[in-house]
Amino acid sequence: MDDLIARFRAGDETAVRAIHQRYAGAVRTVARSMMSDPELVSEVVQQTFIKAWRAIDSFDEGRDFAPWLYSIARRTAIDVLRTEKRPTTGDHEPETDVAVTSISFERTWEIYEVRQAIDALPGEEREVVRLSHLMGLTHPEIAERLGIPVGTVKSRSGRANKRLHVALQHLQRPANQRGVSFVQGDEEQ
Amino acid sequence: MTDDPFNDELTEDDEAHLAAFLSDPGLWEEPSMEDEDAIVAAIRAEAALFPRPEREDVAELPANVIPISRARRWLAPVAVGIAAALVVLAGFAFVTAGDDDPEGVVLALEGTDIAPDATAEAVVAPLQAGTRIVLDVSGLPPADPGTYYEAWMRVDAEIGVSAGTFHLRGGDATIELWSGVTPTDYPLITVTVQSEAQPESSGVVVLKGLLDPSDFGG
Repeated sequence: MDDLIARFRAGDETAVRAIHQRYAGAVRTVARSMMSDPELVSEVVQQTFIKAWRAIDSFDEGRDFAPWLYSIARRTAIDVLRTEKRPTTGDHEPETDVAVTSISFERTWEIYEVRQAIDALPGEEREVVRLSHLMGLTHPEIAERLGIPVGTVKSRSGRANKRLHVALQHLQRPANQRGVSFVQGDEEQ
Repeated sequence: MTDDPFNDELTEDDEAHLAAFLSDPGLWEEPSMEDEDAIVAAIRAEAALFPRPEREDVAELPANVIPISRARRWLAPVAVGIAAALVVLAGFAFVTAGDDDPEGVVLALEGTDIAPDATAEAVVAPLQAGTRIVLDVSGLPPADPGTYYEAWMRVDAEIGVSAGTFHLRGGDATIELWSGVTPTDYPLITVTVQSEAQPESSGVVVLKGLLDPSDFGG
């Protein structure tokens, strides 16, 4: 990772693309959780990585890159929304269907982490999870869609759940607070 | 989820909570190749135009500098503009009036891709009160309503100080600008298009020229 960061800092195209491909999904998900306009989401994604590149000298390489990038992404999204909510002389309509501070730092961090965990799944497991949760398909329907045995779908689903469980372990609430959510319902008012 | 990381079982509540995330379409949106290309182009152009010093040489920024702000929807044009500036930079015609010219150093600015027909001649004179720039602009369209032009003296893409604003709605003009920094330290002269809603530098460069600090004893 240190070498990748060093090459990213130097503006090496391969490194810039590698960093984008590794983290763009999570950054996009954070932006998407805060705004609905696809153009604004793209703006946040682009600005986040360009700002990260400009500020890379402030990144402590002894730490994890993901939280550092997350803080840039969230701040960038808030800045974009604040600007959008101002009267504008531009050629676009202000974004009015979302609240700038309606979603907490912890909540967007959780979204960012879940997306990272999803992106880290092997492709075949990720697809089973996507079809199951996003498309609402049953295991037999997934098996038919993918042309594989139902047992294979179940095993992929089981492995994916285990990986997600381990990857997101640090987000879980203390045992005595379970039954509500990880951090659900703590939106800023 | 359970406290035991080796316990594979999820509680029903945690499973339901995770399922709520997983059913959100926003969680599954794929990254955009257009975004990636725009990021690569912007970084490549900025890195080529303003090479970074070795890490140990990085100094703290002065307190009075103005970073280039968010490029917003102009991001792709900016990348193109900076890339175009790279191409023309080598061809800049510097016309130096010499030490015996009391008017200062004359610099030709060329239009970027955003304003290819624009040209300008800047007479740059360090004086006691600051640096005076007399800018003779031609071929630059009047600023649209809600926008204006702003001249900058810059160290690089990130560090710069405003030299003043103008709109050209009366046509080509000679504009007198002032900045409180020296051309020796801030040799890059740019003109950006600004939105009235966004006072920081837009980064959307329409004219650009580079002074030779040695012309000022630097």
